[in-house]
Amino acid sequence: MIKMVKFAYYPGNVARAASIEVEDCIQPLCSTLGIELIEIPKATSDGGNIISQASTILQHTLVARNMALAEEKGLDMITTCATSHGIHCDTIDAMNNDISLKSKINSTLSQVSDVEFNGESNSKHLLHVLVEDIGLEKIKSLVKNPIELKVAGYYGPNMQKEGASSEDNVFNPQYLEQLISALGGIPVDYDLKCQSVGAPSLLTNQSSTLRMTAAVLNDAKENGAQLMVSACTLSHSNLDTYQVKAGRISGKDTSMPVIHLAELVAFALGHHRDRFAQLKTRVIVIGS
Amino acid sequence: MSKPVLILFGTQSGNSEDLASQLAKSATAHGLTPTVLDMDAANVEMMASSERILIICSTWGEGEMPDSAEALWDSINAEGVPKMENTHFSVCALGDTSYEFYCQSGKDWDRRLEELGAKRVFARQDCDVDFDEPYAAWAAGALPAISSVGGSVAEVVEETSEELSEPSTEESSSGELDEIMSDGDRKLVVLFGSQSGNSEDLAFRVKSKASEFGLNAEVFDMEGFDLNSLENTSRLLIICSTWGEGDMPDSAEALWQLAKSDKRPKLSKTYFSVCALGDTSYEFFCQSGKDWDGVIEEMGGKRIHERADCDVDFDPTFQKWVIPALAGLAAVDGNGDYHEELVPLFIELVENKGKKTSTGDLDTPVIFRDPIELTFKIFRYDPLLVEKGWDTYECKMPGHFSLLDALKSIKSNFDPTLSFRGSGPLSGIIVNGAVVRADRTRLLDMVELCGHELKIEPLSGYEVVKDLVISTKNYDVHRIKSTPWMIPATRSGVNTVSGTTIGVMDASKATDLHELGDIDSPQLLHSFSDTLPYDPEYIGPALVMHTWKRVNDERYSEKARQSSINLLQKEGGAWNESDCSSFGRHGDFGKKIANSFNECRAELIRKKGFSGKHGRLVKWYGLSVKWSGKVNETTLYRQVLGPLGLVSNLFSGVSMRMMLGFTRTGAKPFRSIFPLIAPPAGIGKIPPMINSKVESHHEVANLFNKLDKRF
Repeated sequence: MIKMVKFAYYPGNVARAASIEVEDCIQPLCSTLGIELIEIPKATSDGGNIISQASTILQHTLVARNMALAEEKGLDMITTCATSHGIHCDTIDAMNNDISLKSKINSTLSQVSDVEFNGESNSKHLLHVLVEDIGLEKIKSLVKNPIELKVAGYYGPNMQKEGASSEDNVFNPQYLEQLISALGGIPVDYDLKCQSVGAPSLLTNQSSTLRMTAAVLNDAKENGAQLMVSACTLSHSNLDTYQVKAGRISGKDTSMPVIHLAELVAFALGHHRDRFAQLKTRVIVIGS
Repeated sequence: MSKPVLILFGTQSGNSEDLASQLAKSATAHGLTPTVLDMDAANVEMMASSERILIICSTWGEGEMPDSAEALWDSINAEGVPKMENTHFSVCALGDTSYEFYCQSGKDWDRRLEELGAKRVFARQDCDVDFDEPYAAWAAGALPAISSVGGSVAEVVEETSEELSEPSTEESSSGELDEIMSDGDRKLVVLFGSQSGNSEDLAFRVKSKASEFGLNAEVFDMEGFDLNSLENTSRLLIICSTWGEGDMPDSAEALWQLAKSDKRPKLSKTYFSVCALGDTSYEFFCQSGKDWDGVIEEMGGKRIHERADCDVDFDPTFQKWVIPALAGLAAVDGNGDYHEELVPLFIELVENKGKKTSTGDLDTPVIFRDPIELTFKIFRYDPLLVEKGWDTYECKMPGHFSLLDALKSIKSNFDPTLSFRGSGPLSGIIVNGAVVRADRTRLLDMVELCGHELKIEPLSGYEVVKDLVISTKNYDVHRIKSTPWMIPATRSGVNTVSGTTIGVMDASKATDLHELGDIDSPQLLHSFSDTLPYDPEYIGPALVMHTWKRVNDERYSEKARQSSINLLQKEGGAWNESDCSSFGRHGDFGKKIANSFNECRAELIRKKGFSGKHGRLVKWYGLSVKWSGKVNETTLYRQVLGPLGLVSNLFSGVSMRMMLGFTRTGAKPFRSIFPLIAPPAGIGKIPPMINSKVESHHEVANLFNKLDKRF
């Protein structure tokens, strides 16, 4: 019998909206791996590093409220989005290092929501949970459909910073590559795996953002990748939906299927076989 | 007793101002009370009434004064300008050897002050773009020299030492050295003939060391050098390598042929010494250096110190040669007379300077660490062939080596063509994604951070000149456009008990301001941005931070502050950074920069409202979260991009890709009927037009109302 580990689940800003396929995959994969996801129905958007551009304390308070709701249940928070995880870690870090900020945030929270965040709950990204809590050996043993493709892992900048990368290396992370290997794929190393694709500015600085996106895709492709897997739901949108536009603006070859980490794991564990088959066909027909 | 010193800076890009500020901090340790002034704010009368002046001035364009120095320069050259016989001075000139009129502005100030009767207490220092080391050497010499004006060093000792009655020999000899160091021409010509670059490196090391002896060294390649120009030179050092079977390096051949010919000049006024580089495994070891040593003597030159013949491991022999050779040449006065008795005093002076760093309050021993097995993967770029690639070196190096030591070692042991910057802020490189200064980062620490394979690249966001050497031209151009210098406001001040007038600033504001400006190397911070290489308009994080600091500085004029706000707001400014989270990769400092960006943008929104795309994004993001607790992407797309933007998505493939299904792995394109009712960008898997609300949504609305009523 599989021993269950429990987390409060934070889907991020887009997993239940534009990136619904992430939500389709996270539930069955967690069920297979013995991860119990506890909903937090009161949780709000974390501000997406956009609200902080008008008011840092407003974004911190939104995040602290979500964390306090997880803490109330005695759980750590799990998320599939690297941006959300990075934002959670920033707020936890800021509150730990500034007592007056912590007191101000908690005072507001106790007035509006009757909760306080004491720093007992932590934020965890799905990738870190898979590698550190579940273990690569266990995942390997549960693989039903090995990936068997050359896969480039995209980390982005949000979880590649001290305090957010868990035990993985900040500058030269390896968790995605190790996971891809465990899932029967062939990891592809490339320089720009941690470079930002400018997700927060997709609508405002589109030209530079799409050039950044094209550079990441092209670098992975030039290093032999057939497929990209993103650890960030927000960056996923740039890398996939804006791929054609990015290619046109930059003049670079950017054509490659991009899926989210949750999809890759779910496919390998035997879920959504039809989608996996379509993905493989697409790799052969278009992504080569 | 404290002595006032006027520190004047003339700046175009802000470097002179930075150095003037550093100099002021160091000056107090010499019993000096510094007043730092932009030349823009100074006048000739002020200069004439100052007993001590230190000048740091950059050169612009074709040997021109910086804009801020122009008015003062005109005034000091006007008719009827007062004499400055009571003024003592020294000049540090900033420039760029790639321009014809190198350091011309500094040279002009140096000459003009002398013409007006002012007394030079320390030889002018000319600094190239990598100015840190020569500046430090100049400051180390100029500050004690200017401090001894208006009362001998003994006077200062009087207050602190018990040994008053008899001036020590050290004091009297120090006086002699000061006299000769401030006596007229202190030029030293360093001539190198190089095949692999080692002689050139050593020549520049000599130049740096020469300033400690009060010498103003100029380095020349033998290739294209005018031999006749040596006729009136009283100090000459030659560093030359040997190639093949005792041959001259290619670059030295033409000069050598001339030196052997009848057309060679007489060098009867010249004192010289030679450092020869070679390899004992060859028959004609150090032959070229030996040849130069002989021919200069034949031309009438007087050997001041015996030639050094260096083997492949040239450093120990070079070190033994350079100090006595420089001391000998330093003992040649401005009239060309040699004072042998001063040679040991010069050696003692320089060696004592070296000892001070390890025997004072702050002991700085070298900490040795065991050798580490390393693989270096180094980016290479050849500008002539326009070829780039990576070279890999596997070697073992001591853990206490800096990255710069490692690069030097690779250059001397594996590939003499490898190019990189020496010490200073421009020694920055990227190692496995980490932006670091090569001269300040230990191998041991890098291995702990990134492992045993170190991938080394030039700083991003700059044009690569060769290998790891970058050009800061674009950064400098943006910096100049941002008018980074201080434009002071008229403000109140108070008189201290010592009679000095100082400005007043709230302590917490001053601390905040210091924290904002606490940036070791703006050139490195410039490279923190992932956006910069893809956005040529963007001025970069270093300049955004500098401008933001000025906005926060109450000493800055209101008009200039407004202009800074405009710079941050407009295209190329603070909004051009696409993702501040990339700064977080660079530790606490990076996080601090990311926070400052948020504060800066929040202030721009306060000043300008939620205008433009950026303002609209922030406003509608906040509003959609307030209204439902969730982000509504459809609202964001519609409000930020507007109808035209949405239409452009239809034709650029974005909408089609959404329609086919995000990632095209077969997920359903539509989850509800709402996107079909009013599809702006709301087609495909873009969420419904109206979000359902999170539970207890009133708490979210209350939270917004409590913290920020703008939403």
